[in-house]
Amino acid sequence: MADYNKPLPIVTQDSEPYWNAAKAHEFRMQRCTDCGAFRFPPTHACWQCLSTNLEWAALSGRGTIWSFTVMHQIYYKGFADEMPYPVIVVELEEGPRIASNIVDCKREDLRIGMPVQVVFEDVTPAVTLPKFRPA
Amino acid sequence: MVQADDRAIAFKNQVAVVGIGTTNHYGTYADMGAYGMAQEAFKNALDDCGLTQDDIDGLIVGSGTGEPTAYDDMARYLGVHPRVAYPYSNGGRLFGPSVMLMASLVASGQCDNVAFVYTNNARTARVKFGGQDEGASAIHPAYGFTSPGANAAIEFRRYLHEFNQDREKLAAVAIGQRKSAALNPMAIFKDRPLTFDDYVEARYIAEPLRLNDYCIINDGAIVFILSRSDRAKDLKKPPVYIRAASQQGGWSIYHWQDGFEYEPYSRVASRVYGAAGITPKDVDALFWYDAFAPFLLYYLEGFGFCGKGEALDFIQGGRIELGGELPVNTSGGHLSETYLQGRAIMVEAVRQIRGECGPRQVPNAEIVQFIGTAPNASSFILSKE
Repeated sequence: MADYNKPLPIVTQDSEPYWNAAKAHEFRMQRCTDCGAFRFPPTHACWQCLSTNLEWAALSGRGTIWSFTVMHQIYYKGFADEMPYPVIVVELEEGPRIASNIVDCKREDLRIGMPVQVVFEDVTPAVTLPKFRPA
Repeated sequence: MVQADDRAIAFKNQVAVVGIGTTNHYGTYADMGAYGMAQEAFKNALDDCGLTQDDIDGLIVGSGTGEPTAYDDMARYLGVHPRVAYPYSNGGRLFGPSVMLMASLVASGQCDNVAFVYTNNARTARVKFGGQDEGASAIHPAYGFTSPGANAAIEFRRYLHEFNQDREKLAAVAIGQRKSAALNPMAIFKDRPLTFDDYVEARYIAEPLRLNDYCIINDGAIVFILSRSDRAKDLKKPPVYIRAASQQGGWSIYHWQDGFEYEPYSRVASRVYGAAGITPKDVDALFWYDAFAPFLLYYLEGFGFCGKGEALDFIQGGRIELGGELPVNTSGGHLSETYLQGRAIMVEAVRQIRGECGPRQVPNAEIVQFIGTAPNASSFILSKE
């Protein structure tokens, strides 16, 4: 783990609770308590009604693969040993779509519509990345 | 919510493209620098129309993706003292809107002759369009997710899925434009013919997109000059009128929205066709923002050249090649000529209307259309009359 050399997320004031939840192996997302809209990535105010009232709502962690790509070009040295690797876009049960990686699945087996479930990967002592496995 | 309207600007009889200039070649300009390229292209644009530096009373300076150019330094190095001068954000998606902005300066009477100066030394600056700390507020790099092409790949795979289409039909775009590039002495890939076998054997960058579905990364500069229509007739070359222009913001290919930008494109379509008094059938050649080959599909469907999900079939059989019903990016475009974020495509569109394209001339080209990508879906119509 000490030699983890992939990019780490840039944690901001708005996104800190997201990463803290991930570290506790909880999958949470900002939800407006006035209009009910989810939003991601984390921002100061609601995109729909601009309210700053929010909760960090717990998500089911279930979703389906909306689409995906397989990266064949090395843009980050930390991924060089895994070429080629998939990047997936998951449509969460609650609605939002987010980008992530798939685990426990050969890339030939990836399909749009495949049900997936969130898992947590503790990549450094400070950072945990939510990823997905086939459900 | 989106404003439901049919607003577009009909610039006809008000604004014309009168001068175009490019660097003397495209590729690498390691020694000349961004300002040097701009000087070369600007001189060529003045020679093209017969205006002088003193005639330029509006200057819009668009930096490319490489070394930035300051608008005040640019004015100095070009020897102009414009009444109106602005810097303009880079980003190819903002090319179409930049033409609207320039045309508005002329149409509103603020300027008589506006020059748009665009330089890009992305090749020399080794710009890779990926691998930076970017994307969804810097969360994406942790997943190895980077580059505009990866986003385009994700959207294209979804498109193939929704319409149950054959991925390899996309080859028609890269192959068709490469054929045109062979007829263009300025095209970087003029001597690199592309067969279907070459296309499918080329490596993936972000699957399902392969090498030839991507634009080139190179250096070059473009200048074009817009003037009042009533004065344009007295200049060297026949005026090319900006008949209509419109845009629509608020959708992004980078946020995986449903619909492949059909909504913004169809809104812009109804506005520009309405203002220009034409339909897609009247378009003699189509110029499109080809950062990535699949974008053409969404444009063709959103603008009504074919139905939803039909574009991969529409583009087969030479239809979008020279000699076909709807030739597209006859210079080779970003895929095969040069990637200068839409500006070189504008140059080719103007040359087609002027009849300057030699072996790749579209016969009797009188109306051509440009379509630029969402976010900021945009389009403008150029015409001879």
